Amino acid sequence: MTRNRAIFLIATATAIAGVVLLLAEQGPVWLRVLFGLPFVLLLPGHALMLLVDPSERLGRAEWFALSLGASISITIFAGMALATTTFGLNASGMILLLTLLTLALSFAARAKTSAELLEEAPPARRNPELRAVANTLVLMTCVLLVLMAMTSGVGADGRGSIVQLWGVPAKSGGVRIGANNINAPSDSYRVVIEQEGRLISQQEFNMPAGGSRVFEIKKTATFTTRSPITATLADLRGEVATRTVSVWMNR
Amino acid sequence: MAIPALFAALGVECVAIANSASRQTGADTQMMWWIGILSIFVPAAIALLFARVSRIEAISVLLTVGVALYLVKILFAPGMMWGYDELLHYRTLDSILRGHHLFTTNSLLRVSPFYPGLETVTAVIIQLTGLSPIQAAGLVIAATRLLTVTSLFLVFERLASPSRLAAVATLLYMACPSFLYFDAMYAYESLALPLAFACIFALRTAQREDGRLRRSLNGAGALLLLAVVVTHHVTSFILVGTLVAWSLAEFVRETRRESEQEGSQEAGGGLMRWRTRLRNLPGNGWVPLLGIVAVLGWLTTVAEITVAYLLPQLMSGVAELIRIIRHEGTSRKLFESTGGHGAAMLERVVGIGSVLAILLLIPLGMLYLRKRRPLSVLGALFTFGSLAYPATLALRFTKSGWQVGARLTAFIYAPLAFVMAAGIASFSTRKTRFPRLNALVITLVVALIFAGGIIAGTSPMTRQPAPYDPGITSVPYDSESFAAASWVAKTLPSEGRFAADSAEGALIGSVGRQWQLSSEDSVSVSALLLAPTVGDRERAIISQGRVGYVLADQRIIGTPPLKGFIYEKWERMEYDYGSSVGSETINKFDSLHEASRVFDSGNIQIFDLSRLLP
Repeated sequence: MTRNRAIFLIATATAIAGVVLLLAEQGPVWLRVLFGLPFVLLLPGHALMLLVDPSERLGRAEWFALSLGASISITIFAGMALATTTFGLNASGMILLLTLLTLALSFAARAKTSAELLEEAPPARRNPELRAVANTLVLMTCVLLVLMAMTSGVGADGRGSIVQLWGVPAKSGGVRIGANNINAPSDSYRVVIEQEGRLISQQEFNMPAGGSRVFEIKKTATFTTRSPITATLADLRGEVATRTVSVWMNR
Repeated sequence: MAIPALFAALGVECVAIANSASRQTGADTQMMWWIGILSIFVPAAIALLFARVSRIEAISVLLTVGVALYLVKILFAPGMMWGYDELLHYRTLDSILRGHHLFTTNSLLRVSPFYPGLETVTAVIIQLTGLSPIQAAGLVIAATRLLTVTSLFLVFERLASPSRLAAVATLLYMACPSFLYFDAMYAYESLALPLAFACIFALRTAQREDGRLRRSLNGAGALLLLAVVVTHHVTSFILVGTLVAWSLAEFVRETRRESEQEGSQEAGGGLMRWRTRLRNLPGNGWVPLLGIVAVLGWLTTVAEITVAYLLPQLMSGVAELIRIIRHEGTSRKLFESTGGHGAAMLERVVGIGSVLAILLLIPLGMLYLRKRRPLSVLGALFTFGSLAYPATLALRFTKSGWQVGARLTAFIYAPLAFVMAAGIASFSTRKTRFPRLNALVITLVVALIFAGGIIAGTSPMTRQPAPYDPGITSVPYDSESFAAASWVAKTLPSEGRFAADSAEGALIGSVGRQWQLSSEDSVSVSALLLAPTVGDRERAIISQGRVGYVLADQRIIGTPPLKGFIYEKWERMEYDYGSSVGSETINKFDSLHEASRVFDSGNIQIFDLSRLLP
């Protein structure tokens, strides 16, 4: 690839990625990852390398290392600069700033090309070792596939299943009692809310794994938050090793 | 070269299965884990040492091993930040994402917000891609792993040809005790280190080039250097120190060469002489100077807290070493945790064997480099730098200094790996009557060094995931603890002042967005939480320290603190609780009338103490 074409490609890719990221700020994650990762980790450094090494005297590995390192460094300083402004570190500002920086570097590389007598374009590299690289990349893909399989297999297991019970003062002046089911297999529960031995509320309810319930006890003539309130949550099926949990407030 | 990659994939599979079984049942699957780890490393070592590999193939193999070892770290707890240091930086990242500005506060690691390089890159990726913080952090560290391997190979390649020596040196760097887990964590050193390697590579390459490329590469090196300065304190000090030492050595060599030339009457004028001297310095002399100014400027204007953070750790290690040398202090027992838990005999043998192999390879490597190669100044510096390894071994005998020694290994292993590779080259290139036996011995030595590095960098108790044990684990990565921390973040006001054990406190202070109290807040958490009852002293601690919440973890009851402590390292000076903490101590807040138990999930209870505050 000639140098001018490389500069044109980097500038175009930056502009396209910048526009897509700006338009898809709330868009699908896969689209933003597809454009966002090269936009941050590859393009700024590559544009800088076009300026640093116009005659491509350095090899591919050297370009890769310096492009990646420079991209990260440019992102750090751009982010820090934006964070010190009143706008703060935000997506739109960062997209604009990185786009401008990368385009500026590309144009600077182009200007250098025009100003200097270009060296004769190096002959296209025909690298027989590319096949070996491709082989390795294919197998690396296998590793990633294995990882994805293993992650889905081991990600959700072995970390216990529990229920939570909590109580906090409510803005209305009463209290809020909440229950959360974190992966516990039982879905039938009973909550008993008492004050000084007097039953305030008792409810049986379904709460499947991942579910939660909140009970708000409003302040009334017979219920005051000044006396202790005790809530107890029990698993009705007793299928799991969740012990009865209880909270109390304002004793 | 596809075979090492295939073995690496199988190795990752083995580690995944071993970890999964260990996590679910606590079963001993260490053997399978080791088979997986060695499957990743050994075939690659054989390929790089003995097979006919091209330069690009060697880089591919190294990248495969580097990424596969990173996957081992991921597979410890997929989709989670499980390292203690990761949670400290997660807190800074979370603050940046919520506040959109830098230099926030972090009760867990107060120096972290003042070195925001890592968190800034991650925050940008999160904002642009919509990935979760854990996914974005994983991607950033994966990128740093690629940068580490490539940059290090390129640095070694510029120190000595052929590329095989550089490839073996890079592979041996992966035997560094911190490479498998610590430098794969979401922490500032993980980013700063590869940036430092890339900086050295850029400056070394510039030295060998002319004209515009030289100036541009120096500029790229300066950019990388400045990025290191705002990312990690120790790495920036060591990088600038290396550049200064390199500059001085180049200056001395140039002066010596000039005096030799004067003898033969070939020297130029004074101005020419200075031009030549500056020209030969790394970064033409201005990049190291910029480094000094940047480091001092950052330390005095932004990160003043750094000195107060680093100095006590360094001084206590040195003081303890001096005490041991004078026979005044007790030394740390090798292969034994602070709580007295020892490693298996085989691990001790491999660990000692690997140290002996390294100590043997250092002089052999030095001899090889001296005889065979006209070394560059940086190459000579690396050769001498490898002698720092025996010095850090001395720190391993101290109770407080071993951590300093362990942290330094990531830096010391760069020159050490270079010299070790030269030492191995002195064997592998030797003509022998038994070439296969020679190859077998070399492979075993390399595998021994790698296994020894893992043994030195990880404890057998924490090498693999297991059901949570507050006496062993530094971060609880079970769902109950994470759910409690998430509830705290959602329900309680942020920056509430919390007292908790060190493991739960790390989660509460990061995921829970609370202010985890410590001695830096003049609050003795261990005095409050280890007292058997809540008396006047404890009420005074709560009131003076404005302790808003305490966390009680039932799993602490009866658990021996094999990691040495539950709350704070000096907790036994407050209360000597015997072999383990009793239930009356953990449950004492149940009988405190002013305390409200606002959260309960069976093992974890959170108490609101606001009624005790003035």
